[in-house]
Amino acid sequence: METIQQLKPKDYKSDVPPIWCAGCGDYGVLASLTMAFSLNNVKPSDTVLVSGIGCSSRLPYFVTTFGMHTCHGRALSVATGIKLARPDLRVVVVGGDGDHFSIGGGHLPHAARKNIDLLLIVMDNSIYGLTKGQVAPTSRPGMVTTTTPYGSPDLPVNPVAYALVYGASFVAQSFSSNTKLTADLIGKALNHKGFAFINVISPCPTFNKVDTFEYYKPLLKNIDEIHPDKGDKVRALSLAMTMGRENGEVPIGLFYQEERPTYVEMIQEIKIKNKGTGHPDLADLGRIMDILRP
Amino acid sequence: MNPRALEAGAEYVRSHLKKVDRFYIQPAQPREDRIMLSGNEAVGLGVLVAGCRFFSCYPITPATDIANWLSRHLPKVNGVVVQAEDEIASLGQVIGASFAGVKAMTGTSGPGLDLMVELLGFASMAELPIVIADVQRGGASMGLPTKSEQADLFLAAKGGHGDFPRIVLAAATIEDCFYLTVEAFNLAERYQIPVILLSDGALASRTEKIKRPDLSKIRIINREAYSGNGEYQRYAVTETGVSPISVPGQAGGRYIATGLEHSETAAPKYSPDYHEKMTEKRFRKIAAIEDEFPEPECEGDKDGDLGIISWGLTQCAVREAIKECADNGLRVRALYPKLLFPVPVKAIRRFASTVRKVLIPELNYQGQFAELVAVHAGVNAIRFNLYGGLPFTPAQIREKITEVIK
Repeated sequence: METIQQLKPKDYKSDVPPIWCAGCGDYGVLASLTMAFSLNNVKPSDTVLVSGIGCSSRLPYFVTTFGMHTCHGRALSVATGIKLARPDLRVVVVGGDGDHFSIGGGHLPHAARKNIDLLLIVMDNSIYGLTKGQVAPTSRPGMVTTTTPYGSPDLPVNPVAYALVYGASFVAQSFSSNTKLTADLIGKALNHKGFAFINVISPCPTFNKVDTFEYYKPLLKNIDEIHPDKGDKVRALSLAMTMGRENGEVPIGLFYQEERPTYVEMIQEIKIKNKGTGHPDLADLGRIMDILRP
Repeated sequence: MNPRALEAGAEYVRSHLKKVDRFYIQPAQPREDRIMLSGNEAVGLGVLVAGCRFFSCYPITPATDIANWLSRHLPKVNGVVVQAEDEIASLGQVIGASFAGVKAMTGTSGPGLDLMVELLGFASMAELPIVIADVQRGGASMGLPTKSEQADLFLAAKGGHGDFPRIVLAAATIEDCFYLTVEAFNLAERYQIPVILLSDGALASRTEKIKRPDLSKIRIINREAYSGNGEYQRYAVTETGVSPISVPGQAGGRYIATGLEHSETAAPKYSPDYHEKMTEKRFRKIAAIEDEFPEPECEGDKDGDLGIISWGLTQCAVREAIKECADNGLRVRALYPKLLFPVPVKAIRRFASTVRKVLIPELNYQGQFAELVAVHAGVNAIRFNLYGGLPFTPAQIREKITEVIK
């Protein structure tokens, strides 16, 4: 039997160097992603990374898989099309909190409830970095940014609670510099059947001087000990809503995982019922035209 | 059915009414195989025959029937129909499916096409073949959802920021709805470009019998596949502008489909020479499209006092009107373009040179095709616009012809 040589994390890095600022949290996510790809023997040519717009959405250029760098907020819908058209491909969506909770916020519920078999990794920095420092959907109340010079009046969204309520079948949170945990969660998500969501808190040292590495480090708490039953959605939601930045304890780890039919499996069933799984020829098309005979 | 009532009615007509008009219904030709379908169903059938296996939709009048029909039949040929959360997601899914190597399409109406415009530009920039059917209704905004207009042409031909190429076709008959859907895919695949097929509410819901298409005679074009292995240049600058395309799963074919300006290898590139070179490459693909597309049909006198250029649903009224005008000794000809954008300038100039005046009737206020014809072909047509939401009647066209010729 032919032995497949396992690729090392660095083998997944393309010859395009990242253009992120020094100290950007996204480097940690990139490292975790390539680590998880290596550990799980991910084949680059069978994998597509899809992104929208934002600093983090530049990531596909830096990886040797196929990729799409699409419009702001639309990565999930594009990724859905890839997966439904070609279920054999592995599809990973990467992007920021602006991409997925603001401009593209309308797509997340549907990818989750349809249980589209793909992984969404959000790099959550609570700021719009690419446009140099505007208030973001996960910015804390009162935060001073270029568009909120007198403090933000907005309540931040709760990414983990969102994903749970929308029906994501795999929900986790991690922190950028905890690359081992992040890689482990990405690995679990890659092997999960259905829609997987990982919110990675990924500080922006250039435009967010509040949500820094130093600020977060002492607040991080792995929930595995207090939440061993990963199928308990109510407990997961309760933790997501009671822990958090404002309560001085930021939960990381796997919140929830369930197994339920994916969208691809359901459309495959429809095809089987309609005897449509083969390669149709002119006779098949002719039979459909026969229905239109007057 | 009540046969006694039918027979009584027929007997009444036979004994009381005398036929005075000139119209006769041809007896049915039982030997010719026919199918009966609406414009929207014909688009659906075109989708199947073109080899499209992914259709994403969001319900909108008067386009919804395309999705309804395909939802029943596409799974029979290994295809997928998805109802997305909105029109933006529909086109996003279509773009993803096309990138994955599967022919894909969405069907919508004006308000949906509005929402799709940003991704339309992306598809053109990333050079991914996609097809959008726009079943036009009365605009603007919510407008007249159940009425017909030809007022989305500017949006289809020019909508979007920045410079990017796209192709616009327009159906005028049920046959067109079928054959132009197939053609839209052929063009999209051949030029790796978005193609918008314009239909309209009246055509969408009208049911007719047409000759059963002979599928063995229909030409299907697929995208030029990349067959190398390594050093792949997805956006290689070629003479035709078309560069071979790979699909995920293909070792050595890796690239990033991108909406950023890019180099041959799809890496972001913002230098002036690249933006110029790549913009020219993308437009070069369809620079000669008029020569590669069937010439528009022309009918009527060889030379005429008046030439009518008619697209989309005005065509039926024009055909009937010019027959009557010819009977009355008026010298009128007509040109029926199906390719609207890029404007078939050679055919239009040739046509215009054979007539004294050109008339373009359209169901819109601004004279959208007349304006494109003026700008692109340099032919200034007399405009005849209705914008109440109802189609032209032959009598309206006839009266206008008489008025213009005098």
